[in-house]
Amino acid sequence: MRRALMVLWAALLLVLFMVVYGGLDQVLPNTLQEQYVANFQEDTGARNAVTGIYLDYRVFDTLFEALMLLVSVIGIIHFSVHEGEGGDRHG
Amino acid sequence: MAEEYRSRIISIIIGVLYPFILLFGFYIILNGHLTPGGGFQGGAILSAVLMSRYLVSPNQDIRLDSLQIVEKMAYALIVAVPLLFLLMGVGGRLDKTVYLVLMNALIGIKVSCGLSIVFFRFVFYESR
Amino acid sequence: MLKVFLVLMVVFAVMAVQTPKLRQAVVYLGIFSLISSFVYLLYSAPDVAIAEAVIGSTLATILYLVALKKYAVYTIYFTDTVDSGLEEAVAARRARILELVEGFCTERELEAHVIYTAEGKEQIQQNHSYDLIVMQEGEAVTVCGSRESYHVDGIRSHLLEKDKGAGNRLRFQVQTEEEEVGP
Repeated sequence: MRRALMVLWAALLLVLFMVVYGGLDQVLPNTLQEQYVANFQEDTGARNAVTGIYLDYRVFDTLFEALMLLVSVIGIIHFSVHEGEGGDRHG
Repeated sequence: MAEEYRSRIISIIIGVLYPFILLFGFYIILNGHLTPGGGFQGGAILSAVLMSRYLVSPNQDIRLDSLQIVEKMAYALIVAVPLLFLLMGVGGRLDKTVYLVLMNALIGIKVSCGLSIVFFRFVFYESR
Repeated sequence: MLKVFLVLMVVFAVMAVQTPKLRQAVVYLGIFSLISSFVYLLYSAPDVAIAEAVIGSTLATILYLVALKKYAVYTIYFTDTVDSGLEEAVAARRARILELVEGFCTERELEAHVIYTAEGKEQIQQNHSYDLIVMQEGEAVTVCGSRESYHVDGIRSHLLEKDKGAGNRLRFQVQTEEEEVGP
Protein backbone atom coordinates (compact mmCIF):
# COMPACT_ATOMS: atom_id res chain seq x y z
CA MET A 1 0.00 0.00 0.00
CA ARG A 2 2.70 2.40 1.07
CA ARG A 3 4.95 1.44 -1.83
CA ALA A 4 2.09 1.87 -4.30
CA LEU A 5 1.42 5.33 -2.90
CA MET A 6 5.08 6.24 -3.27
CA VAL A 7 5.14 5.04 -6.87
CA LEU A 8 2.00 7.03 -7.59
CA TRP A 9 3.54 10.11 -6.01
CA ALA A 10 6.74 9.74 -8.04
CA ALA A 11 4.73 9.33 -11.24
CA LEU A 12 2.73 12.45 -10.39
CA LEU A 13 5.93 14.42 -9.80
CA LEU A 14 7.35 13.18 -13.09
CA VAL A 15 4.24 14.24 -14.99
CA LEU A 16 4.30 17.61 -13.29
CA PHE A 17 7.96 18.07 -14.15
CA MET A 18 7.35 17.15 -17.77
CA VAL A 19 4.37 19.47 -18.03
CA VAL A 20 6.24 22.38 -16.50
CA TYR A 21 9.52 21.98 -18.35
CA GLY A 22 8.18 20.41 -21.49
CA GLY A 23 6.29 23.55 -22.33
CA LEU A 24 2.85 24.23 -20.97
CA ASP A 25 2.04 26.28 -24.05
CA GLN A 26 1.74 23.26 -26.28
CA VAL A 27 -0.56 21.50 -23.86
CA LEU A 28 -2.97 24.32 -23.19
CA PRO A 29 -3.62 27.27 -25.46
CA ASN A 30 -3.55 30.55 -23.56
CA THR A 31 -5.65 32.68 -25.83
CA LEU A 32 -7.79 33.78 -22.88
CA GLN A 33 -4.73 35.15 -21.08
CA GLU A 34 -3.65 37.07 -24.15
CA GLN A 35 -7.12 38.49 -24.58
CA TYR A 36 -7.26 39.60 -20.92
CA VAL A 37 -3.84 41.20 -21.04
CA ALA A 38 -4.63 43.00 -24.29
CA ASN A 39 -8.08 44.29 -23.36
CA PHE A 40 -8.29 44.74 -19.61
CA GLN A 41 -7.68 48.49 -19.59
CA GLU A 42 -10.62 49.30 -21.83
CA ASP A 43 -12.86 46.62 -20.36
CA THR A 44 -12.42 47.25 -16.66
CA GLY A 45 -10.85 50.67 -16.27
CA ALA A 46 -8.15 49.30 -14.02
CA ARG A 47 -4.45 49.73 -14.58
CA ASN A 48 -3.60 46.72 -12.45
CA ALA A 49 -4.49 43.60 -14.38
CA VAL A 50 -5.00 41.48 -11.28
CA THR A 51 -7.62 43.84 -9.88
CA GLY A 52 -9.29 44.04 -13.26
CA ILE A 53 -9.58 40.29 -13.40
CA TYR A 54 -10.74 39.62 -9.86
CA LEU A 55 -13.21 42.47 -9.67
CA ASP A 56 -14.55 42.44 -13.19
CA TYR A 57 -13.98 39.35 -15.26
CA ARG A 58 -14.11 36.96 -12.32
CA VAL A 59 -16.29 38.81 -9.83
CA PHE A 60 -18.31 35.68 -9.16
CA ASP A 61 -15.20 33.95 -7.83
CA THR A 62 -14.54 36.92 -5.58
CA LEU A 63 -18.05 36.77 -4.16
CA PHE A 64 -17.69 33.15 -3.19
CA GLU A 65 -14.19 33.68 -1.84
CA ALA A 66 -15.53 36.36 0.48
CA LEU A 67 -18.39 34.03 1.41
CA MET A 68 -15.85 31.35 2.25
CA LEU A 69 -14.05 33.70 4.63
CA LEU A 70 -17.37 34.64 6.25
CA VAL A 71 -18.32 30.98 6.70
CA SER A 72 -14.93 30.15 8.22
CA VAL A 73 -15.28 33.04 10.67
CA ILE A 74 -18.74 31.79 11.64
CA GLY A 75 -17.32 28.31 12.11
CA ILE A 76 -14.52 29.58 14.33
CA ILE A 77 -17.00 31.52 16.45
CA HIS A 78 -19.11 28.40 16.75
CA PHE A 79 -16.30 26.07 17.70
CA SER A 80 -14.23 28.28 19.98
CA VAL A 81 -14.97 27.45 23.55
CA HIS A 82 -16.89 30.02 25.53
CA GLU A 83 -15.52 30.71 28.96
CA GLY A 84 -18.91 30.96 30.54
CA GLU A 85 -21.85 32.18 28.55
CA GLY A 86 -21.02 35.82 29.26
CA GLY A 87 -18.27 35.65 26.67
CA ASP A 88 -20.10 37.61 24.05
CA ARG A 89 -21.31 40.34 26.33
CA HIS A 90 -17.95 41.90 26.97
CA GLY A 91 -16.32 40.46 23.88
CA MET B 1 0.41 37.86 30.85
CA ALA B 2 2.21 39.32 33.81
CA GLU B 3 3.54 42.84 33.75
CA GLU B 4 7.24 42.01 33.84
CA TYR B 5 7.06 39.71 30.80
CA ARG B 6 5.99 42.56 28.54
CA SER B 7 8.78 43.93 26.40
CA ARG B 8 9.39 47.66 26.44
CA ILE B 9 11.25 47.56 23.13
CA ILE B 10 8.32 45.98 21.33
CA SER B 11 5.84 48.46 22.75
CA ILE B 12 7.93 51.47 21.72
CA ILE B 13 8.67 50.15 18.22
CA ILE B 14 5.05 49.24 17.59
CA GLY B 15 3.91 52.60 18.90
CA VAL B 16 6.17 54.28 16.33
CA LEU B 17 5.17 51.98 13.48
CA TYR B 18 1.43 51.94 14.23
CA PRO B 19 0.32 54.92 12.07
CA PHE B 20 2.60 53.90 9.22
CA ILE B 21 1.17 50.39 9.05
CA LEU B 22 -2.33 51.88 9.14
CA LEU B 23 -1.47 54.31 6.35
CA PHE B 24 0.12 51.55 4.29
CA GLY B 25 -2.97 49.40 4.63
CA PHE B 26 -5.29 52.17 3.48
CA TYR B 27 -2.92 53.02 0.63
CA ILE B 28 -2.91 49.45 -0.58
CA ILE B 29 -6.69 49.21 -0.42
CA LEU B 30 -7.47 52.52 -2.11
CA ASN B 31 -4.83 52.21 -4.83
CA GLY B 32 -5.69 48.61 -5.60
CA HIS B 33 -6.78 49.39 -9.13
CA LEU B 34 -3.60 51.29 -9.98
CA THR B 35 -0.77 49.55 -8.17
CA PRO B 36 -0.29 45.99 -6.96
CA GLY B 37 -2.41 45.16 -3.99
CA GLY B 38 -6.11 45.26 -3.38
CA GLY B 39 -8.78 44.61 -0.84
CA PHE B 40 -7.52 41.32 0.49
CA GLN B 41 -3.91 42.36 1.02
CA GLY B 42 -4.82 45.72 2.52
CA GLY B 43 -7.38 44.11 4.80
CA ALA B 44 -4.78 41.66 6.03
CA ILE B 45 -2.42 44.55 6.78
CA LEU B 46 -5.17 46.37 8.70
CA SER B 47 -5.83 43.29 10.79
CA ALA B 48 -2.08 43.01 11.41
CA VAL B 49 -2.39 46.45 13.03
CA LEU B 50 -4.89 45.06 15.54
CA MET B 51 -2.69 42.04 16.19
CA SER B 52 0.37 44.15 16.90
CA ARG B 53 -1.82 46.13 19.26
CA TYR B 54 -2.54 42.85 21.05
CA LEU B 55 1.21 42.31 21.45
CA VAL B 56 1.52 45.63 23.24
CA SER B 57 -1.57 45.51 25.44
CA PRO B 58 -3.33 42.17 25.68
CA ASN B 59 -6.60 43.55 26.99
CA GLN B 60 -9.95 42.34 25.90
CA ASP B 61 -11.43 45.69 24.99
CA ILE B 62 -12.32 45.08 21.36
CA ARG B 63 -15.99 44.62 20.62
CA LEU B 64 -16.01 41.46 18.56
CA ASP B 65 -19.77 41.38 18.08
CA SER B 66 -19.81 44.80 16.41
CA LEU B 67 -16.90 43.71 14.22
CA GLN B 68 -19.00 40.73 13.24
CA ILE B 69 -21.96 42.94 12.35
CA VAL B 70 -19.69 45.16 10.26
CA GLU B 71 -18.35 42.12 8.46
CA LYS B 72 -21.80 40.81 7.60
CA MET B 73 -22.94 44.23 6.38
CA ALA B 74 -19.80 44.46 4.25
CA TYR B 75 -20.53 41.09 2.72
CA ALA B 76 -24.11 42.11 1.93
CA LEU B 77 -22.77 45.24 0.24
CA ILE B 78 -20.17 43.19 -1.66
CA VAL B 79 -23.00 41.12 -3.09
CA ALA B 80 -25.21 44.16 -3.69
CA VAL B 81 -22.77 46.55 -5.36
CA PRO B 82 -21.92 44.47 -8.48
CA LEU B 83 -25.63 43.70 -8.93
CA LEU B 84 -26.43 47.38 -8.67
CA PHE B 85 -23.77 48.39 -11.16
CA LEU B 86 -24.87 45.60 -13.47
CA LEU B 87 -28.52 46.62 -13.37
CA MET B 88 -27.76 50.31 -13.80
CA GLY B 89 -25.54 49.51 -16.75
CA VAL B 90 -22.23 51.25 -16.24
CA GLY B 91 -20.52 52.63 -19.26
CA GLY B 92 -18.12 55.44 -18.52
CA ARG B 93 -14.57 55.13 -17.33
CA LEU B 94 -15.30 57.08 -14.16
CA ASP B 95 -18.04 54.65 -13.20
CA LYS B 96 -15.70 51.73 -13.57
CA THR B 97 -13.10 53.40 -11.37
CA VAL B 98 -15.72 54.17 -8.74
CA TYR B 99 -16.84 50.56 -8.86
CA LEU B 100 -13.31 49.22 -8.44
CA VAL B 101 -12.45 51.52 -5.54
CA LEU B 102 -15.74 50.81 -3.80
CA MET B 103 -15.38 47.05 -4.13
CA ASN B 104 -11.76 47.15 -2.96
CA ALA B 105 -12.72 49.19 0.07
CA LEU B 106 -15.58 46.84 0.96
CA ILE B 107 -13.43 43.75 0.56
CA GLY B 108 -10.73 45.39 2.66
CA ILE B 109 -13.17 46.15 5.48
CA LYS B 110 -14.58 42.65 5.33
CA VAL B 111 -11.23 40.88 5.31
CA SER B 112 -9.78 42.99 8.12
CA CYS B 113 -12.86 42.39 10.29
CA GLY B 114 -12.82 38.67 9.51
CA LEU B 115 -9.14 38.10 10.25
CA SER B 116 -9.36 40.19 13.43
CA ILE B 117 -12.32 38.15 14.63
CA VAL B 118 -10.47 34.92 13.91
CA PHE B 119 -7.39 36.11 15.77
CA PHE B 120 -9.14 37.53 18.83
CA ARG B 121 -11.51 34.58 19.10
CA PHE B 122 -8.50 32.33 19.09
CA VAL B 123 -6.60 34.42 21.61
CA PHE B 124 -9.31 35.19 24.12
CA TYR B 125 -11.86 32.41 23.93
CA GLU B 126 -9.94 29.32 22.93
CA SER B 127 -9.08 27.84 26.26
CA ARG B 128 -6.69 25.02 26.82
CA MET C 1 19.78 35.74 -7.65
CA LEU C 2 16.59 33.75 -7.89
CA LYS C 3 18.35 30.45 -7.39
CA VAL C 4 20.11 31.69 -4.28
CA PHE C 5 16.77 32.52 -2.71
CA LEU C 6 15.23 29.22 -3.79
CA VAL C 7 18.10 27.36 -2.14
CA LEU C 8 17.69 29.53 0.95
CA MET C 9 14.00 28.58 1.04
CA VAL C 10 14.89 24.90 1.03
CA VAL C 11 17.49 25.47 3.75
CA PHE C 12 15.05 27.29 6.01
CA ALA C 13 12.32 24.72 5.41
CA VAL C 14 14.66 21.93 6.46
CA MET C 15 15.79 23.94 9.47
CA ALA C 16 12.18 24.55 10.50
CA VAL C 17 11.49 20.84 10.39
CA GLN C 18 14.71 19.76 12.08
CA THR C 19 14.87 22.24 14.96
CA PRO C 20 14.09 20.63 18.31
CA LYS C 21 12.60 23.79 19.83
CA LEU C 22 9.19 24.74 18.46
CA ARG C 23 9.59 28.47 18.93
CA GLN C 24 12.74 28.53 16.80
CA ALA C 25 10.91 26.47 14.19
CA VAL C 26 8.20 29.15 14.05
CA VAL C 27 10.82 31.83 13.52
CA TYR C 28 12.42 29.82 10.72
CA LEU C 29 8.99 29.42 9.16
CA GLY C 30 8.52 33.19 9.25
CA ILE C 31 11.87 33.73 7.53
CA PHE C 32 10.88 31.08 4.98
CA SER C 33 7.68 33.00 4.25
CA LEU C 34 9.59 36.24 3.87
CA ILE C 35 12.01 34.70 1.38
CA SER C 36 9.17 33.09 -0.53
CA SER C 37 7.41 36.43 -0.81
CA PHE C 38 10.60 37.89 -2.22
CA VAL C 39 10.75 35.04 -4.71
CA TYR C 40 7.19 35.87 -5.77
CA LEU C 41 8.39 39.42 -6.32
CA LEU C 42 11.21 38.14 -8.52
CA TYR C 43 8.67 36.17 -10.51
CA SER C 44 6.92 39.56 -11.01
CA ALA C 45 3.82 38.79 -8.98
CA PRO C 46 3.75 41.70 -6.51
CA ASP C 47 0.15 41.07 -5.42
CA VAL C 48 0.91 37.57 -4.25
CA ALA C 49 4.13 38.82 -2.68
CA ILE C 50 2.25 41.34 -0.53
CA ALA C 51 -0.31 38.76 0.54
CA GLU C 52 2.38 36.22 1.36
CA ALA C 53 4.47 38.72 3.31
CA VAL C 54 1.53 39.88 5.41
CA ILE C 55 -0.14 36.54 6.02
CA GLY C 56 2.81 34.20 6.08
CA SER C 57 5.27 36.33 7.98
CA THR C 58 3.00 38.26 10.29
CA LEU C 59 -0.34 36.66 10.94
CA ALA C 60 0.75 33.03 10.85
CA THR C 61 3.83 33.68 12.97
CA ILE C 62 1.91 35.56 15.66
CA LEU C 63 -0.83 32.93 15.64
CA TYR C 64 1.68 30.10 16.02
CA LEU C 65 3.45 31.91 18.85
CA VAL C 66 0.18 32.51 20.70
CA ALA C 67 -0.74 28.86 20.20
CA LEU C 68 2.60 27.76 21.63
CA LYS C 69 2.07 30.04 24.60
CA LYS C 70 -1.37 28.61 25.20
CA TYR C 71 -0.30 25.01 24.80
CA ALA C 72 2.32 24.94 27.52
CA VAL C 73 2.19 21.48 29.05
CA TYR C 74 5.08 20.41 31.23
CA THR C 75 5.41 16.65 31.11
CA ILE C 76 6.95 15.05 34.16
CA TYR C 77 7.76 11.34 34.40
CA PHE C 78 8.01 10.02 37.91
CA THR C 79 9.72 6.72 38.61
CA ASP C 80 10.57 5.21 41.92
CA THR C 81 12.53 2.05 42.43
CA VAL C 82 11.69 1.50 46.07
CA ASP C 83 9.96 -1.66 47.18
CA SER C 84 7.18 -1.48 49.66
CA GLY C 85 8.11 -1.27 53.31
CA LEU C 86 8.55 2.32 54.33
CA GLU C 87 5.64 3.49 52.23
CA GLU C 88 4.64 6.48 54.26
CA ALA C 89 8.07 8.00 54.08
CA VAL C 90 8.17 7.36 50.35
CA ALA C 91 4.79 8.98 49.86
CA ALA C 92 5.81 12.01 51.89
CA ARG C 93 9.01 12.41 49.91
CA ARG C 94 7.17 12.04 46.62
CA ALA C 95 4.63 14.63 47.70
CA ARG C 96 7.40 17.03 48.66
CA ILE C 97 9.37 16.79 45.43
CA LEU C 98 6.22 17.03 43.34
CA GLU C 99 5.11 20.04 45.32
CA LEU C 100 8.38 21.74 44.46
CA VAL C 101 7.99 21.01 40.76
CA GLU C 102 4.35 22.04 40.65
CA GLY C 103 5.13 25.29 42.43
CA PHE C 104 7.58 25.99 39.63
CA CYS C 105 4.88 25.20 37.06
CA THR C 106 2.33 27.58 38.55
CA GLU C 107 5.00 30.26 38.71
CA ARG C 108 5.69 29.93 34.99
CA GLU C 109 2.01 29.43 34.02
CA LEU C 110 2.62 25.88 32.86
CA GLU C 111 0.29 22.95 33.24
CA ALA C 112 2.01 20.13 35.07
CA HIS C 113 1.26 16.72 33.67
CA VAL C 114 2.64 14.05 35.96
CA ILE C 115 2.96 10.46 34.71
CA TYR C 116 3.87 7.70 37.12
CA THR C 117 5.75 4.94 35.41
CA ALA C 118 7.84 1.88 36.18
CA GLU C 119 10.16 2.38 33.23
CA GLY C 120 13.76 3.29 33.63
CA LYS C 121 15.38 6.54 32.59
CA GLU C 122 16.82 5.23 29.35
CA GLN C 123 13.51 3.73 28.31
CA ILE C 124 11.71 7.02 28.94
CA GLN C 125 14.35 8.96 27.04
CA GLN C 126 14.03 6.65 24.09
CA ASN C 127 10.30 6.16 23.96
CA HIS C 128 8.64 9.31 25.21
CA SER C 129 8.91 13.04 24.86
CA TYR C 130 9.37 14.53 28.28
CA ASP C 131 10.40 17.71 30.02
CA LEU C 132 11.52 16.33 33.31
CA ILE C 133 12.20 12.91 34.80
CA VAL C 134 12.10 12.54 38.56
CA MET C 135 13.73 9.37 39.81
CA GLN C 136 13.51 8.38 43.41
CA GLU C 137 15.80 5.72 44.77
CA GLY C 138 15.30 5.42 48.48
CA GLU C 139 16.67 8.56 50.05
CA ALA C 140 18.18 10.03 46.91
CA VAL C 141 16.18 11.88 44.31
CA THR C 142 17.60 12.37 40.84
CA VAL C 143 15.99 14.94 38.56
CA CYS C 144 16.77 14.83 34.87
CA GLY C 145 15.75 17.66 32.60
CA SER C 146 15.37 17.50 28.85
CA ARG C 147 17.63 19.68 26.76
CA GLU C 148 14.71 20.51 24.45
CA SER C 149 12.71 22.13 27.20
CA TYR C 150 12.83 25.89 27.65
CA HIS C 151 12.66 25.70 31.40
CA VAL C 152 15.71 23.59 32.21
CA ASP C 153 17.74 26.39 33.74
CA GLY C 154 14.69 27.81 35.48
CA ILE C 155 13.72 24.59 37.19
CA ARG C 156 17.32 23.89 38.13
CA SER C 157 17.73 27.17 39.93
CA HIS C 158 14.24 26.80 41.43
CA LEU C 159 14.98 23.36 42.86
CA LEU C 160 18.40 24.49 44.03
CA GLU C 161 16.93 27.43 45.87
CA LYS C 162 14.00 25.61 47.43
CA ASP C 163 16.00 22.54 48.34
CA LYS C 164 18.79 24.34 50.14
CA GLY C 165 17.49 23.85 53.63
CA ALA C 166 15.59 20.63 53.14
CA GLY C 167 18.51 18.31 52.57
CA ASN C 168 16.80 16.06 50.06
CA ARG C 169 20.05 14.79 48.52
CA LEU C 170 18.90 16.08 45.18
CA ARG C 171 20.85 15.53 41.99
CA PHE C 172 20.07 17.41 38.83
CA GLN C 173 21.00 16.22 35.36
CA VAL C 174 20.52 17.68 31.92
CA GLN C 175 20.08 14.66 29.69
CA THR C 176 23.54 13.15 29.65
CA GLU C 177 25.91 15.27 31.65
CA GLU C 178 25.40 15.22 35.38
CA GLU C 179 25.93 17.79 38.00
CA GLU C 180 25.52 17.83 41.68
CA VAL C 181 22.96 20.09 43.29
CA GLY C 182 22.35 20.50 46.95
CA PRO C 183 24.43 19.31 49.82
